[in-house]
Amino acid sequence: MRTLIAALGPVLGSALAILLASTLAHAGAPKDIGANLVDGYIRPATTQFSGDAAAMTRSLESFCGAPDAAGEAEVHARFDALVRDWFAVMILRFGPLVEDNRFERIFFWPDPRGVTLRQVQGLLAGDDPAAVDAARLAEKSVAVQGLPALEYALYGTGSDGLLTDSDQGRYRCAYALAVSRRIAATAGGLADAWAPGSAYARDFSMPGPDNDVYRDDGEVTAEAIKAMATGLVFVADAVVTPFLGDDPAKANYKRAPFWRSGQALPAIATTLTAVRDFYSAAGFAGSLDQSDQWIDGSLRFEIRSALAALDSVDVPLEQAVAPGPARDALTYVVIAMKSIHTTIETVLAQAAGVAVGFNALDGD
Amino acid sequence: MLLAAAGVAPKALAAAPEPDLVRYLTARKRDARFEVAVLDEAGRDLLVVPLEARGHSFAIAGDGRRAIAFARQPGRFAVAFDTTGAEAPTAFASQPDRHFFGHGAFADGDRLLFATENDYDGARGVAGVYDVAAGMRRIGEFATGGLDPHEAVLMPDGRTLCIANGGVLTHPDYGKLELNLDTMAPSLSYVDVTTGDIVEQVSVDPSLHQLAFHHLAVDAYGAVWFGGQYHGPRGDRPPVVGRHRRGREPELFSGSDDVLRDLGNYIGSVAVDSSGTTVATSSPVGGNVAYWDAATGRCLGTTALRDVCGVAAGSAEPFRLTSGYGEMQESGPGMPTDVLIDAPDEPTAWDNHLRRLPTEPASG
Repeated sequence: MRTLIAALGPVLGSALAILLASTLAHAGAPKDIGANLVDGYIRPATTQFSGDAAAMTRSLESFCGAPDAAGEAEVHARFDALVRDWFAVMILRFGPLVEDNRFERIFFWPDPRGVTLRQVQGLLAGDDPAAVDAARLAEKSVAVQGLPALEYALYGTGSDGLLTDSDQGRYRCAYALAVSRRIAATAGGLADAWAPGSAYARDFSMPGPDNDVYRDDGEVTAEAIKAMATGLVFVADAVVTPFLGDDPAKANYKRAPFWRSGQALPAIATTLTAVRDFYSAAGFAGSLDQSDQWIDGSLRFEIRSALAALDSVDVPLEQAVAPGPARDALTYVVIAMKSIHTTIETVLAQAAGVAVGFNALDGD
Repeated sequence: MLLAAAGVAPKALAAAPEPDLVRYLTARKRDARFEVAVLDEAGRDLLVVPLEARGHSFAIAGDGRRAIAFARQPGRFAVAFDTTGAEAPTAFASQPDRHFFGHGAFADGDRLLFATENDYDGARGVAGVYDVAAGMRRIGEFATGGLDPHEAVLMPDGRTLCIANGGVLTHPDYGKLELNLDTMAPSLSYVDVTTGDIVEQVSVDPSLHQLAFHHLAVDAYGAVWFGGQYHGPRGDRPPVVGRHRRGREPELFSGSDDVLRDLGNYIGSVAVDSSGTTVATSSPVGGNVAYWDAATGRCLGTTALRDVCGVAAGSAEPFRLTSGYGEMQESGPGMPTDVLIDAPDEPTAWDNHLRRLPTEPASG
């Protein structure tokens, strides 16, 4: 084509190129992508997160009332599920998850300065009535009302006190309960914002010239692609790389989120399955031209390979970061995530007619 | 559409720079290379300075000869060069615990260079002070009164710098990821360069605390125009362009709803025309440039150009625009568009900023 355009001369060539560009625009944007995503991914994921957050609160209410080992095991199981739910929701970082700082309220991360640890330890060391009252906790720093804060209360230093009949244990449990209520409230707000009839679900599902947020399927497609790409690069750069380190000497498993509860690796795997399911629900495969069908196969293959690599890690995180097959697997996962990110952001975006320019993609 | 096609126009290059030569300065990506280019009026290369990584903007001395190219955030290199190519470029680095934000300005009769920098471990924005005569030796720094100081411009008094504090907390371990979306506090600071004192600081309504001011230009009346990048939900449509006159409250301008939409909640560059009475604000995200009457704040119109970001005073029309797709045009409010470069010979992405070089003051 380049040769043809050159042969036609600059003027005609440019005109032809512009004509082609406009004809091709959004040729591959999946039809009704917004509605399909809301029904097929976003609503199920946000509803499950909200439901599990409410269940966590109920489990904590009974556990704090009568702490025992069985109750603690139930609370821990609830927490594990909630973290995985969150990583399925976390890739939806636009609209409702951005409003009211919902993302940061649930997951204040990355936290290179250790704000969560410092502030939560500060609260637990004192006797602050506002720390055990969800409504007043909402007014405090976002770092003390999300999943990392809850994890510390349930698994961090001093959490064995939860099972003792002591003022300190009761206060700690009451704080965990208040945090859980905060998470449930934020998760509930998120689910409501995507519920049938809500303004954002309507805007996302029904783009149009009068829609203030999304004018056409192309704009929804661009949002969907950005969400997947952003989610992947976030987990690669802000979740995995910091604890893995550029080399083994810089590795520190305690820089992983949820290392205390053992949920770091499941969370990373959930991100990959989340991107796969989100991508499937969007209907990209069916809208790709014949010549672009390889993108679908390539993405699925890369996600499968990364999941298999994660699955091969069969040692605890603190051993996994040391030189050996587990570390190699994690290193590969980062490379794969970045590769999937690039495929989505460039090749898939191009095929869907929503390629983003050099400046718009990464501005300053 | 006019097609001047700079790449093929048989126009002789000036053998030596003339005092009144129209010249432009920009960073670009050409094939896989990152470069600085000094361009003639037709957009042809006069000088190319290779960079080790992606560049951003420049500090330019009053006579238009000496310039400093800065690495883009969170880069650590800067290159001092002679825009006529008479002297070899020299590179210098940021202090080890600082990185550049991509902008800087000369002051004190071009004897001092100021660069916006990140004290990331201290979580504060600073301006590094460099002694030009001592080969860009860093002789100190001062706090800019906020996080994320981005563009800095010298006020007409020659001794006050206006600095745009975007308010975003970042740490180079996490690239450009925002770490404080919940507590962002952007501001404009005016600093007396002879003392480092902040002599005036202004911010906008707290409801707009997620509007990061990054780019600045000074108009003919001595007012500072600023462009913002909104980090809140996409459905919000905050004004992203404003003006500040010393001693007053900042004013925000929206134009019409269509203009706001065209700007996509993101301004990538701000410039004034040669008269200083018209302001241009570019949005690569929205693919549009909006023009504003500097006296009244009225929006005068827009020019659509995909991935447009570079904007500077034009030579034939009020403004020259460059895009990430290699296009270079001149246009202005209500003006036809002159296309200078439509499809470059080599794949070229013009980077965020285009600067028109001042001409040397008439000698004698």
